[in-house]
Amino acid sequence: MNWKIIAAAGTMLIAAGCSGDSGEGGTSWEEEEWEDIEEEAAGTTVELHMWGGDEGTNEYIDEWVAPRLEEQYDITLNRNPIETEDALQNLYSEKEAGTEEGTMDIIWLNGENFRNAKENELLYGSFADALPNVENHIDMEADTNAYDFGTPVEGMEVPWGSVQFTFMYDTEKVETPPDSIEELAAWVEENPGEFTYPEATDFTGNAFLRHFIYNNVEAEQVIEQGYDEEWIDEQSDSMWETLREMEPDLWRSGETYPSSLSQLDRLYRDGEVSMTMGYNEARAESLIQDGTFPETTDTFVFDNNSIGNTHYLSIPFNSTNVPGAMAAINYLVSPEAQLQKQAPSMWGDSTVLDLDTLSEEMRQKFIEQDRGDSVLDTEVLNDAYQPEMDAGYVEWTEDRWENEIVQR
Amino acid sequence: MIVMILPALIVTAGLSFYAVAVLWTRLGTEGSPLVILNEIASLPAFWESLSFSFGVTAVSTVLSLGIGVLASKLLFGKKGSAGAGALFWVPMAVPHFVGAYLVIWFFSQSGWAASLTQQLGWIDNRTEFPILTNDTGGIGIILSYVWKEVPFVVLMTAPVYLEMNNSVKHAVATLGGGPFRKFKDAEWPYLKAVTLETGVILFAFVFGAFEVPGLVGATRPEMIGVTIFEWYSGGSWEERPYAYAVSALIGVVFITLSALMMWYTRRLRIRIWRGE
Amino acid sequence: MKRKAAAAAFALCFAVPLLALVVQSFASEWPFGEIWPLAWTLDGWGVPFSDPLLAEAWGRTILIALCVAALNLLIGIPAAKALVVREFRGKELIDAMLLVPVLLPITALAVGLHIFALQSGTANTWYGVAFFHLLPTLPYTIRIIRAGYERIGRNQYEQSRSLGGGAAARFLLVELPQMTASVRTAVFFAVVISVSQFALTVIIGGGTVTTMAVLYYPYTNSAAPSAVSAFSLMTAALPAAAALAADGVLRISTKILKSW
Repeated sequence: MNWKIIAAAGTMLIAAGCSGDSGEGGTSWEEEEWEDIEEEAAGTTVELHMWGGDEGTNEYIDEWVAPRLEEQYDITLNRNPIETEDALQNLYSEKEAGTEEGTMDIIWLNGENFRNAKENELLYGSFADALPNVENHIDMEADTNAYDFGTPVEGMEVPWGSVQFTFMYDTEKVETPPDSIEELAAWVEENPGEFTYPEATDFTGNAFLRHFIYNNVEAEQVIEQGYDEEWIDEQSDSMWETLREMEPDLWRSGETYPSSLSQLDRLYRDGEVSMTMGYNEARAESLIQDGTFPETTDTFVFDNNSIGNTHYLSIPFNSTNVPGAMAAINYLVSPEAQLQKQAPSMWGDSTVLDLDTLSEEMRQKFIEQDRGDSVLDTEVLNDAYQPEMDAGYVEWTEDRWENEIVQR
Repeated sequence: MIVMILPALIVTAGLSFYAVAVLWTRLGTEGSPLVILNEIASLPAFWESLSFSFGVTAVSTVLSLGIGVLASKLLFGKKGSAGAGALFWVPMAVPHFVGAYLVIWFFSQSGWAASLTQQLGWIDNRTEFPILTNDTGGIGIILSYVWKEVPFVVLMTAPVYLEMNNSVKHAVATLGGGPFRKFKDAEWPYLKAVTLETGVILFAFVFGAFEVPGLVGATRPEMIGVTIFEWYSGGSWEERPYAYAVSALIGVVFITLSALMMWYTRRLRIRIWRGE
Repeated sequence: MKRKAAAAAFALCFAVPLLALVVQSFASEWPFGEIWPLAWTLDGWGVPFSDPLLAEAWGRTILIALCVAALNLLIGIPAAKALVVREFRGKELIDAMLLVPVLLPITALAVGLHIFALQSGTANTWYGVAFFHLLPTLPYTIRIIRAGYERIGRNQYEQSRSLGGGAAARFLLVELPQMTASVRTAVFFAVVISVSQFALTVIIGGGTVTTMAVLYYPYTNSAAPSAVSAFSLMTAALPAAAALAADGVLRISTKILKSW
């Protein structure tokens, strides 16, 4: 048999796989005049890569943004549904293979994904300040925008929207929603089997657990400290104690946890539990409207403890259409696009624009917009708002939850 | 001969080994593979997960094979098609996670079976319904896989029954053997090779997959496929080498296993081909 | 009688759950305790149909699946035939090697192959995706076709050889007609597996090759059961159609060939 031939071919393939080395180069578009960038962008196609699992989100891009970009800027926007982790994995391989002409022009990301992308140099560079709408309407120095889960943004991504962690509950089953972790624990004890949260490996479950960190330590202190394992281990004993005490009264006596938010949602929909949660203050709205959640669903946040984060848009290192990407992102953070994004039938999250910089008429439109009955008042949300902590705490939570809760 | 087999060999083994080699070199850049395997071996959850996976996989595979072969025999063991053959294709056409989803839809405490038993007055409250999904014993996972894989087993073994030399069976019947004896002497020799092979494919698949246990499994114990997936897709890229290393290791074990099985069933195949 | 009962029992266990999907795709209100939905809706089907990428995804999925099925037969049939009719040393080893891709986790394969795809220029293209779909499909095709050849048996195979005629004519006139069931099954399998590939498609396709799996996988994270059911049914329809088509083509072409 011709094993030698096969072995030789294999070696060649491997050698080919490892020899790619990428070089840097190209124009620094962020230093060009904005008119030139827009001119260059006209007539091009921009490939937007983003998670595609929400009807409202997809509709906003495909039916509202894309036609306007085409009409006003002569830019064709193509949406490609892909998980951000997968998109980054692809970029990583492309970097390794030395692919300088990628297929992605804009990527939607934040948190750990941004940190990974930045650390592995998968992004184009600092371009945010070159966009007129960022310059005019977004405060890039504000804590909520300048740090993405503790990682300095440094203009490598542009804020696109912000969301806040909120609980959903059935008003028929819960009379007064708890407004602190202690009250939640007490409620769980009184109503055994009616509450649970997704595993710490789930995005939402992890965020739920991180509220316990802020319950023990001041948010400012956590953020100032950055990620410090020893320090947080010392501070967090009572957090795990509370969670362990809650466990026997959770759904299925805490023997198992939903592995994802959608599983928790299903339990809530079927009435097995009385509360669910989510990292978007407006997410209940569309679920109530389509009949998935009961009409008696309302939302609540803990007093002074509702973590919020910002999600961003960025340009990959090997985008072949940087001017197009910049022009498209600039439009996506324009007042008209942001106003529409906030509509409950579209995306429903909060704008990243500094409302004080808008015209009076525009400002009123933002303030008066009806976001739906289940969404809490802006004032309540703002009062409870706490900024997101360093991404290191996400892994810490995952790790400790496994050891302190699951393995015991 | 080489022309006939080489393209297939390059696409399957060639590309697979190339992929494994790429992952191996990536491990090399972030610490030696052996160090990583050592680290993994020191995790207590890993061993628990491994033995749980082994148990669930073994039960799922054996049940699927048993029910599948029985179904083949009942439906295709005699001349003429049973007509139900087409229905077996149904579970195969839907993705695995849909199978898991259907198990939840039917067997969970707020599922259809619980609704029905409550309507019939057998239970007063859904919490009285037995816990069959997201359970710590892996029942939900096994149910999903059996539903999904029995048709696959039927598909692989039905042709054997359809073409089986009926005279062999009659000869044994006249000799006066019981049904089991008849099965063992007359049918098993023909079925053995394909059944074992199907078993190895099923075992390898169930052992490493994550979609089904992710939906119907419990938080703990966890199937190894889920652990690998969490290492791979988690936010911390430092855990990815774990995923690659364990995947490669499991692959090596299964490849060895399948080579041994091929060697074992070789004579059977030759005999069937020669019509002995 | 016993056989009818068995057939009924198996149909109940394996086909009826699919009906549940059909019912659920139209259900808008189906609370716990009810064995039949209380209210109906078309919204579940509205979700996939309102996605503007749906038409493109269908087109891509069918194109890729057809290429995968064709390539599978083209590469798989000769390999399977050689494994049965030829005697050579190391056959078991080669046999085992042909099984390797289904013994490895597919995500690991996809990540490992991505570099190769990028350098060969097949990454981010539909034909690249189709080519790499051969890995999870070809082992099954070879096994299914091999079983078909084994069942023809040596006697009959030798007989047809002694009748003379070219290898191609023998293959088309004698071997293929006897393997209609095997070919149909192989096509069905190749299409089923190709259609449901998510990780491999997303990685090799770079997110730019949108197939049905890529489009609907994220929707499975939604709590609305009707949309998930509708999507599942839509995806399941394709392999069934492909198998029927393959069956029809084979039967007709055999008739035409035989009438010569």
